[in-house]
Parts: sequence; C-alpha cells; structure tokens
Amino acid sequence: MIAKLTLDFTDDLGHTICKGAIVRWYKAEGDRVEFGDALFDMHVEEVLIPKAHMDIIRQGRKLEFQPTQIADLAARQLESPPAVAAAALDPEDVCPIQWAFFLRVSALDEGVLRRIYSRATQETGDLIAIFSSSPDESLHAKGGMTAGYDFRVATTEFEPDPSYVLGTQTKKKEVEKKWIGREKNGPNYIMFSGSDDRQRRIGIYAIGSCDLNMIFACKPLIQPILNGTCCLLYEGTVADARSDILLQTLKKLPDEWLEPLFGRMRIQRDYFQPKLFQKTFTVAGDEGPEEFSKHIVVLSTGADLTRTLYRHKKQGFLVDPGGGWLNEPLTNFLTDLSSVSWFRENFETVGKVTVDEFTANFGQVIQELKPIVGSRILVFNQLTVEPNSTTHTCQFLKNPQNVRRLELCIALSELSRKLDFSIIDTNRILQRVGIQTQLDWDHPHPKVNLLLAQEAFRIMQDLEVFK
Amino acid sequence: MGTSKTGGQPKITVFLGESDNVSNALLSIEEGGRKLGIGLRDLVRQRYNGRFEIEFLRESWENGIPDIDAGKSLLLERQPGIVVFSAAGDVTTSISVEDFKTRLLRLIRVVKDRLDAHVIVFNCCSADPADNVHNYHGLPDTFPLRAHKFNLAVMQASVLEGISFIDVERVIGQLAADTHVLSPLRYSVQAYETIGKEFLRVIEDIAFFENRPLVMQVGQRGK
Repeated sequence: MIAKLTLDFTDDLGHTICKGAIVRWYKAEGDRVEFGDALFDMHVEEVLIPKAHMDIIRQGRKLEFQPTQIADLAARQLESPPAVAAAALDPEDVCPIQWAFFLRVSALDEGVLRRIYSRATQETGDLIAIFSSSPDESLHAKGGMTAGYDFRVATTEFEPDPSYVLGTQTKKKEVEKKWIGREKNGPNYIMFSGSDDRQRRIGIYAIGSCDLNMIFACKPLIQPILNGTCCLLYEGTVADARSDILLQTLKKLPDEWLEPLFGRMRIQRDYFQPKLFQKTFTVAGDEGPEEFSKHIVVLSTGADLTRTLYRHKKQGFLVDPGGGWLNEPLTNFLTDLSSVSWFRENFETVGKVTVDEFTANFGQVIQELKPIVGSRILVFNQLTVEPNSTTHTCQFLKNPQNVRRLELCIALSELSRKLDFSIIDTNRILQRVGIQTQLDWDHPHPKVNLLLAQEAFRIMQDLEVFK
Repeated sequence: MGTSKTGGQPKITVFLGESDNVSNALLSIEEGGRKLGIGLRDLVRQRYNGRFEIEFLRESWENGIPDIDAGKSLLLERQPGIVVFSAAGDVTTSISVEDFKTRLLRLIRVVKDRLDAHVIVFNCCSADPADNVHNYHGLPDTFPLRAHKFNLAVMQASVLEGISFIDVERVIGQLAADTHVLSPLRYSVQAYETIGKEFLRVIEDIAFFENRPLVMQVGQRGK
C-alpha cells in the first residue's frame, strides 16, 4: 500500500501552514517508520488563518478599551445586509500571516519511507514524501503514480522562532542549535549539519568559473535530508580552470620556473597545485581544520569556452594571466609596465581551445577524476543562444560565439555518453525560464541560481550522494 | 550570387518549403497556417500601407529537405526572390546530420547559382518539456541533442554560404520555453507570432523594402 505525505496541516482552530522549510529529516529514504517516530522538523514561515481570527488579532486589543469604536462597529454590522454580515464571519474566509515557528512532525502511521521530495520552501499541497508498506513495493502504476492514502502525522513539539518573536541573540543561537544544527561559513565554503550523525561527512567540491558559485544555493535543499555534515566548497576562478591548466597541475614544475611569476602576475601560489585531483579538501572549522572526502566534483566548461592561454616560450608551461573577464587589457593583470614587457618577452599566446582540444583535454580531466569520485562528476554547460541578439547570418562573423558554444555543448554531451558523467544543463534551464533578462551570455538573474541548484540537487539525489 | 539585386520591388516572391514551423509562423489561418489570424502578407501590407505585396509559392517539405536534383520541384520552375525552409522537418526523420548538411549545402548552392535568390532557413527549438536527461552514457541522441546538431549544421551553412537563419531557438529561449513549447517542435501562438515578426525583421534587414542593394549572401566559400 502506498501512502503520501503532503503539506496539508491544519490545527483545531483552523490555522493552516501554507509555507515552510523542512530543516531536518530524522529518517532517510529506505528507513522503516513506526508509530510515534519523529519524521522531520519544519521551520514554518507563513500560516493561513481565518480572517475572523485576524480581525481579533489586529483589532481585538485596540477595541478592548474603546467603547465608542465598539459601538460604531456594532452599528455598521446592524446596517449591513445579513448575507454580507454572515460572509464577513465565514470561517472559510482566510488570509495569510507571517508567523514563524519550529515544528516537529511525527508519524501516526507505519511504513517504509521511500522517497523524500525536498525543496527550499514547501507550500500547501506540496508532496513531501511517499511511504509504502514494504521496501520493494512499486510506487508507480501504469500511467503514473498510484493514488495512495494520506500518511497521517501529528506535531509533537513546537517552539517559536526567536528571530521573529523574542529577538535575543542568545536564545536565537540556542534554538537554532537545537532545530537546525551547526553551521560554519567561510569565504568560499559553507559547512552544515543535518542530523545528529555528524560523523558522516559529505564533501561537494567545485572549481572553475563564477557560474559554479550557485552550488551554495543547494544548501537549503540538502539540509532537510542530510544525515551527517556537508561542506560545499567553491574555489578558483575562471582563470584557473581551463582543462589544459587543470591537467598541467598533475605535473611537478620546477620552483625556479615559477618563482618569477608570483611577483609579476596576480596568480596565487597554489595555481600549479593539483587541488582538483586530490581526494580530500580541508576547511577551517570551529575546532581546527576539518577534512572532507570529495563525494561530488562540480566543474564548468566556462573556462574552456572563453579563456585564452599563454605558453612560456622556453619552458613550455601555460598560464592565464586572467583574473579578469573578456577583452580586458593585459596591463590590468600584471603588476607594472616592466612586467608587461617581461611577459611579452617570455610568453606567447596559444589562443582558445579548439573543439577537438576541448574533447581531448576535458575528457582526460574526467578520466583522472574517475578513480576519486567515480561518476559523481557534474559539469555545467553554457548558454548557446545570445540574449537579445539580432544576428541572422554568420557570414560577417569571425569565429562566431554561437557556433563555438553549440559545438562545445554538443562535444560535452558526447563526452558524457563516452565517459559516464552528468551535465547540469544550464542551457536548457535558462531557455526554459527565458533569457530576456540575462545581462549577457554568462550572467543570468541571481534568482536562476535556485533553479540550477534544484537541478544539481536532483542529479545528486539520482547519484545517491546523500544515502 | 555574384551580383547585387536591388530591394524596394513592389512584389516579393517567397518560396516556402513548408513544414509546420514555417507555415504556422508565416501564413494566416485563411492561407493555410494553423495558428495566426494575421500572417506575413498582412503584416507587410499593414506596415508599408500596401506598397509591397508578398506572393507565396508553396510546396510541402514536411518530411525534410528534398533532393532537388533528383526530383521536380516548384522551386526550380519559378524565380522566387526568397527561398524559405526549416530544419525541423529533418530533425524528426531518420536522416543523419551529415546527410542533412550535405543536402542543405547542395540546395543552398542550387538556389544561389540557378535562381539568384536569398535563402532563409528556420532552425528549431531544442526544448522538450519531457527531457530531463543529465547523463548520456548508453543513450542514443535525445531530441534536444539532435536538434542542437541540426542547428549547428544550419549555422555552419550560414558561415560557409552567407545564408540567413531564423533563430527559432533564441526566439523561444527569450520567451521562455517552459511556457511556449507545448511538445517538441510545437509552440504557442505567441511564439509563432514572434517568429513571424523575426522573419519580417530579417527580410527588412536584407533591404527587401528599401531602394538599395540587397545584402548579399556570400559566406566564406564565396570569398
């Protein structure tokens, strides 16, 4: 027997939760649930209450010591046609209010938790989870999911959110610790716990262009189902991440070659270190460094698409003086004019990667990562159509961007077919929601981050990262 | 196309190698389209106060680009100024992308060399509301991937031959595919209207409504 749990909680007074976020699950997919087991904690943000109650909350106290107003109100009610007066008190006439509190939801039915549907915010009617009587019962009938029963639950604990109600920092921290768990933020990482089993550690590591900073938008999606501690880390820049630069980090270059670069160019000392290909990464925790294995590696094709590299004329190694975006003068990224002369004397451009070079280099990056994370590699592709473009012929264009982007997009799909890794299809997501408000090819509205994060989270769930 | 023709001719003959995408975006319901109350002909009449007349020559190319040399086509019997067709008809057939590209380039060369006409090709929107593939390992081409490959062939033809394309992918991407793609290659009325207006913008850009030389379609092959 299949049972569904949807957000449809109403108390005896007719107050319905209409918006909230699940901040912690006590059960994982596949777990058996018994009567009385805690299922999850929810941070409720909005409640639907009868308008009559709202009138009481807003006006009741004001009216308490205002005899004239009480009389006026009664007079208006007497003048109103009976139908209108009755409608004004219709208990089904409701309105939403911002009312924040934490709630623990426990099971009244028994079964196996089969699927958790996690979202940043849950709204009334949203499907939260599916249960079945036995662990291997099919969830789907022909033509769709089986109808199923409602899984019954009860709220067993309640605590107002102090940030709304009490406003005291100490109390806020205590309540957050109890309900949300530990959280630590650094300049390029977020570390957070989702349940009491904090020894289980999940590392999500991203390196490359700025589109990858959306991984932080995954946090509210991950946290409710997280059984352990998760760290989301994004490092590097678009200038560190062209696939031939990444592959170069696998070779040890002599220090005497590199030392002259650090004074003259704005590149970091770890530029030539194989950060991507290490099995773990470390961040600063409350009680010292904390190490995470890489469960997922997130990459982007942004650097291969856009960056031009330079090769040392004698020693043959590559650099991207970068730091900046496209079409900025080299002088912006070298420390002074003598460095510009030095750079011109010692380096020559190798241009942008061709599609064949991309396939070979990026393919090799993926193969080097396979022993570390298996198929748990997510790669962002890029938008292939230019927002608000008026171009209708490529005959006047030298190396048209739209052609190059489409070529790389297709090449990435073919690589995924050959090497078995996942693509976060930015191109598909952006076109689905509309690209009219994009700043340019590569900079969508920040609100799109959540959509990209939802796709990344969906793929992570498919890959069973959190089980 | 060695010489430059002049725009501003009162009658513009447009050959339509028809597929749903082309006819639904350019023809009114009265003319045989299935979506629009006002088609391209009415749009041009309204905008230019009747100074220009569009004449359509129509042939069904629903199953993709025909092998022009092998069969008889209305295209070679008349002298259209503009030849329009779509990549969408081929995407849904079993033709390989390489064969499509070969046939596309051969057709463009025939049209340019024998008819001295302008070629405008509709690419197709790759959106499929049901598509959520994130890993292609062990999978054949999905519809979006195949559409991308055909769209790339159209753009490469544009680089080589200088032809214009109606970027249906971009037009619908701007509108939001979630709202305007009903199923693969089936779009909303608003989407077809916008594609039709984009077509008008393109032929205006080529200068069909001005007394000056038309922008030539030369491309890198012709340089």
